[in-house]
Amino acid sequence: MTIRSALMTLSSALVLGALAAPVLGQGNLANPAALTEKAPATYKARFDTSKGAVVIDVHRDWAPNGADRFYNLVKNGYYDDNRFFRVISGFMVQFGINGNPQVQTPWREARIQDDKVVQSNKRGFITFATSGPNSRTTQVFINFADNAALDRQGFAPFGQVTTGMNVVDALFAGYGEGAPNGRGPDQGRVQRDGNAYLTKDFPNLDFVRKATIEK
Amino acid sequence: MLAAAPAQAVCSVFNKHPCAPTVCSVFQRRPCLPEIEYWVGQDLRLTIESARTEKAADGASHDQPTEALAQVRQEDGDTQHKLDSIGELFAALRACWIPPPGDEARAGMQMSVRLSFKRSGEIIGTPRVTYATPEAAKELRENYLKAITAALERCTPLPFTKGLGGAIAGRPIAIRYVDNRTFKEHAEQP
Repeated sequence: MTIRSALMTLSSALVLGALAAPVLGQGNLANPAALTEKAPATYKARFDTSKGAVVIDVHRDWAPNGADRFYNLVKNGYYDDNRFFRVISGFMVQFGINGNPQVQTPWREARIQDDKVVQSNKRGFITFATSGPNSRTTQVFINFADNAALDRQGFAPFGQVTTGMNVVDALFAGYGEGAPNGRGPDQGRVQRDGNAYLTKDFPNLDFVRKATIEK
Repeated sequence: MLAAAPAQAVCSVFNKHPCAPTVCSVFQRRPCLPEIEYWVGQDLRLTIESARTEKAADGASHDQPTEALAQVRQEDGDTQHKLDSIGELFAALRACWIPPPGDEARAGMQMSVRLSFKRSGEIIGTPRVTYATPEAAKELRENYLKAITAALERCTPLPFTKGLGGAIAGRPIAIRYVDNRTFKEHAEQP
């Protein structure tokens, strides 16, 4: 190998290393296929938010695929620093797009199969958002009210807020529905630009400080 | 179908398969592309950009040749149109490219391959993937590799003139496929 080749290889390695560093710093989150641990039959997920603590009881028998995905995401810190980017009073609050686009990108295609709907979308119940059949990834929503109409559309709740529903009610809802139907954040831009976009254009959004599985 | 060698393959003396060596050995039984270091500007690099709208992309079929491809492959009686310049070669390679349909693609995806042609217009050995967008999922990479492989199969053998065939044979050509199409965002929501 000539000196030119060696220098080019070295410079490529340095550039690739620099680019890869932020993703590698996120541990297993860079590889969704590696995060497929089976969740316990029931578990508690604690969300420390900018408005206070919320505890969610998850029941695997309600929606096994959803419960497993949620368990892996919480356990590996995916929801840390996520913004509550779609808060519609009287309906639901939605979150689950990671603020770092490099982390978020591989999860956009990490879809899970649908679960049967065995619980209703009642107030305080948490469910995965979808963009169609078998399209659940990372985004979830907590119902502010009884939304039984969502049951017929295939939204399968996998858990329930047992502590801190008052915190959920207090999340900032001033931006309302997202673009293009409302003046709230554009999901596409959140996916692409992450928290840089939200912090600049929607500074009042509440957020998850830290999400953990309670022992 | 042509099988492109994976980019992540690491060359080793213990390898049993061809692995883009810097020097081709006379003991190798398989085709070998030697890494000749051309001066900057003298190596052959082509960028093929997909920049159509989602509507057009969804309408494209893998099996449906484009109008430009038909012109490249046009036969006039017994006389087939021959490619006589690098420009015509690149135009032919561009004409063969049909990007993956919208639901199998992603805006911003890039993949590069390196290959060489024989005088006859056939590809020597198998194209080697030299780059793919790092954060792209395995399935997405496979979709693009499949589309690239199909494009090269669709194109070859390329009808070189004797002059171009002699000049181009064995020279590595790097093709970078860039998908700059815009896709409608499918928002997740209840």
